[in-house]
Amino acid sequence: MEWLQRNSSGPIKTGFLFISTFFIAFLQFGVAGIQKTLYINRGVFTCVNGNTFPFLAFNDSAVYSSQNSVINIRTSDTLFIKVINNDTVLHGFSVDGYPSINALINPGDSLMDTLVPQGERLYIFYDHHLYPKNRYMGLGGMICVNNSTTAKKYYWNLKEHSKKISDTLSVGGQVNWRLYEPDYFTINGWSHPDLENDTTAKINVNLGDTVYIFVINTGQSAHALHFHGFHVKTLFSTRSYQIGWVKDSYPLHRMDGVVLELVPDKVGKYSVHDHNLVAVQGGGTHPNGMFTIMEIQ
Amino acid sequence: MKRQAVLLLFVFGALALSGQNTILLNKYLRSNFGTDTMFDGVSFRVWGITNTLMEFPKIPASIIYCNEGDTVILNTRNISQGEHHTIHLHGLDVDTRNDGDPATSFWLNHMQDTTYTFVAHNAGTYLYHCHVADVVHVQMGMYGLIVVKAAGGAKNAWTGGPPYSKDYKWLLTEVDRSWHDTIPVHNPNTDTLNVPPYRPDYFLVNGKSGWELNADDSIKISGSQNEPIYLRLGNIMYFYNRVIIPPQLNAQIISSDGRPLPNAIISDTVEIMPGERYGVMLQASVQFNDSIAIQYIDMNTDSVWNTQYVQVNISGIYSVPEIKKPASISVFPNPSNDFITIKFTDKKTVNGLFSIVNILGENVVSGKLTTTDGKKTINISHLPSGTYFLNVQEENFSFPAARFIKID
Repeated sequence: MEWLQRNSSGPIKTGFLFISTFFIAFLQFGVAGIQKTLYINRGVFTCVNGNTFPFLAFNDSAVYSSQNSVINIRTSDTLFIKVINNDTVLHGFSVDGYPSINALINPGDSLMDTLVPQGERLYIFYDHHLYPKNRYMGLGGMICVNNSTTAKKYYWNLKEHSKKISDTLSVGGQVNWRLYEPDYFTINGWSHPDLENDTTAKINVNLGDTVYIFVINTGQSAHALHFHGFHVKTLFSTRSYQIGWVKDSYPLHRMDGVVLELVPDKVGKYSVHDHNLVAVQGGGTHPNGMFTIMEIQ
Repeated sequence: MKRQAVLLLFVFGALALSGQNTILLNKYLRSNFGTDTMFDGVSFRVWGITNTLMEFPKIPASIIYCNEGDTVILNTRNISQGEHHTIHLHGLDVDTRNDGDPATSFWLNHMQDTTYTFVAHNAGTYLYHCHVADVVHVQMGMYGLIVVKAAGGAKNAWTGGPPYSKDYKWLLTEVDRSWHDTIPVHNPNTDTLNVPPYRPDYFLVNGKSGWELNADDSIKISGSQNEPIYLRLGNIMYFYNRVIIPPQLNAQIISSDGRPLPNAIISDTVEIMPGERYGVMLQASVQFNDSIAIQYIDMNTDSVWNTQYVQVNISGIYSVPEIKKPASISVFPNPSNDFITIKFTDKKTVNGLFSIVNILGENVVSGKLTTTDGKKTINISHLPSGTYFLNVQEENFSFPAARFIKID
């Protein structure tokens, strides 16, 4: 990490180093290298009812989006990751479950690092600096490691928000997390009914398809996802004792991640929602929260 | 119609031969009256799901019992003077029609009725609750447990699974009284409502708390050393629970959400989030008195708001009882043109509900059934001639259905 920080001296230089490292690794080890650049962007989160508050996200480009990036790789891949701090303040970059990736990035600087995946699973990348502030403000996404070429894949980044706390934190204020009472609940930054337009989240498959759902909780609250119509099988969990569990209601504490397998055996429309039913709201309006409808053709 | 009747006759006959029953239950969705009183004497308005029209809603609704393989039909009527309701069969993996989610299916208006049907494919613990404006309707009390016993009603955690001597069912919930005093209003045109802050002030096990828990034999745990006791845990409210079990009970978490876990987890702490259920096998290694602590924890802050304690009394040493043939019913005379007598084998006292179902699956007669001599006579003279099925259910047991023929 010291090396990375010493070399985090501007986008042009690090860009050259990044590409060089990528090709050297490919030539030396014969591994399939995946190159990925993430940008830490600051912007505004727009809620389901039009309210707004400051937000941060890891994006695929320098253009802000309130949807955090999803990185997909295979077990045989080596991920060469570059993170550019597009913000005006110091940020961090960590990968939960991969302790060696853990560094700070000055404003305008970048870091590079390498992740060699350990089996099919998922990782949560996030900003550990001023924890949990920057993660709460939005900086959390997933790296999905999966070899299937036939499964239909969906990605759910669960998060809740308190407009009051986000406004306070963005101007350097202090918050008491023991009084945390969020009022917006989102998957990939969307609430019902907007969530129905997110093709990365809304499950729309055929009878008998194999569906993998990559789920992370990057919020502060715990969430409990309930599937109507089906039980799902746990292929991977950051709580390893849960692997193999077959459930209809899934517990996710903050920073938990799971990969769930769904093989629908009947057609129809079926809801999935947080069974903390208070979380099925946006700005006080039910059901504009953590709620989506699966469609099985 | 004739072909349908023949098909149903075949299906019912096949089910009867295989020991799989069709259980018909009446459920009334009530939000026009009802109060519940807490351990401290405070009463407030509740809504609920009742078995009869005369019954006052209480929280929670009564447990639905069936055996693996049974088909359960809930004849459901909404009598609520304006509120819309449904029954969602939580965890039973039913199709969209029977799911009770108004976002994908339909709701019942006042005085409308329908049937919700499920086949109990997997022994385990499930939930049922209203899914209309569910954040309010569940909080108001429209929920209950469904217990699917192993095939044939065997005392196993699942068919072929670990045996138990007795089971306890704990449904863990909270009440925010302010929601009951000023009930948030659902707008049926937009299917929306305004959700107030949730700050519960009562913390419940099966609708009870405080001293009530240890005055209720269905909640407090008593048993013998070495006796296998199955604790069914469910949570259907908006906090999560941490159940802390004395180590002498050697708790093993063996199932969740109606499915066995691949590997039992040996732990004296069980966490249950909203909508989850867990099966925990207890087997005391010593005789002792203690209590199980149940923490009620805020989902947003992880702070414990309340802890309830349930007594555990383990005395004496367990000896495996002789296996008794499960109680059953027979009907005579059969065929009959006016009265049938139900005879209970190996059981004199019965206090439950009965229903008579025609070949189309329609409930034609139902009511309470009480006897102390193992017999009960029912007038069937008004029924059209045909084949009928008699179901009798007590609070924690469903008798295998009996088939009879009505003649003119």
